[in-house]
Amino acid sequence: MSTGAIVMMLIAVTIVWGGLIAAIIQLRRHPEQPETDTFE
Amino acid sequence: MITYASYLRRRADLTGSAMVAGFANSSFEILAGIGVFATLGFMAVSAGVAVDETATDGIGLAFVAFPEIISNMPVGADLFGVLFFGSLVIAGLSSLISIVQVVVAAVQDRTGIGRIPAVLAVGGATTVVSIALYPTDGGLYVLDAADRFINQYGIALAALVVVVVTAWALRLLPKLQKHADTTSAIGLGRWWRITLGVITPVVLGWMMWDSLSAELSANYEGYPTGFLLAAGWGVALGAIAVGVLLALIPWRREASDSPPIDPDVRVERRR
Repeated sequence: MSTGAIVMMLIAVTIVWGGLIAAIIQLRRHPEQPETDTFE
Repeated sequence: MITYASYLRRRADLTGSAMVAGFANSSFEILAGIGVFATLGFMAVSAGVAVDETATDGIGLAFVAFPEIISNMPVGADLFGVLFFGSLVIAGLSSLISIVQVVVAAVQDRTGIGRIPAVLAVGGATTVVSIALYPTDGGLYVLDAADRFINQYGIALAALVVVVVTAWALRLLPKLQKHADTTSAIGLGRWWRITLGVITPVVLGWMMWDSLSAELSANYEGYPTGFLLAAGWGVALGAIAVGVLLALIPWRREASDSPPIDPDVRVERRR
């Protein structure tokens, strides 16, 4: 593996796996509100 | 994914769910990529050939390369083989459910029949086609050609058309953004309109051009032209034609008994 390939892999892993963790934390902090379904 | 998304509750956090779904998919693909290329690299080194000569596609990878590497494992080959093919079965079944459900839901919406008759009709029809085509000598080639063309020209082309029509013909992105922002914790910005309106069409269009020019310069996998026309182009263009025809049939089942969310009326923004 060339240095460029390793750097690209690390960048991709950081963005995608970090993004997954951030997205899960974000969703857990804002749980779905119970459905009230009051139409106005 | 669109069918699954349609089962979300009315005020579901669309942006948050989409983020998790997208990142989770890409995360597992990176994980699988690391596993696959580590395996292929090991096989290439031990056989003394280049990596691109070890396995070519999904079928060769799952049913030739991986069984070989698993059977060569020094310890736990049996257990690992069961785990590997067990995972493959679960992956296949879960994909099957998500794919067949699209057709079942469409049949229910268009004909108004119940869920169980729709499942029996769709499941029965696909079973007949599968049993007629796939156990034959040419089954693997039919699968290969149909899979390749439905992915390239059925799904990717449909996605390109959807995104161009939505973003540029109907100019719906600002409205859709408003809808998503009404119920989502993460706000969509201009970046979302640029990615969906510019980057996605450019990437998909380039992929389409790239695979079309490959298709026209040489027959896919060297298959005969008549076979490719029937099992490849026939399947892909047939899917589009059937899709257009089905779209002309009016809906029999009410899409929803609740009024659509209007972001202008009540903005109960969650933080």
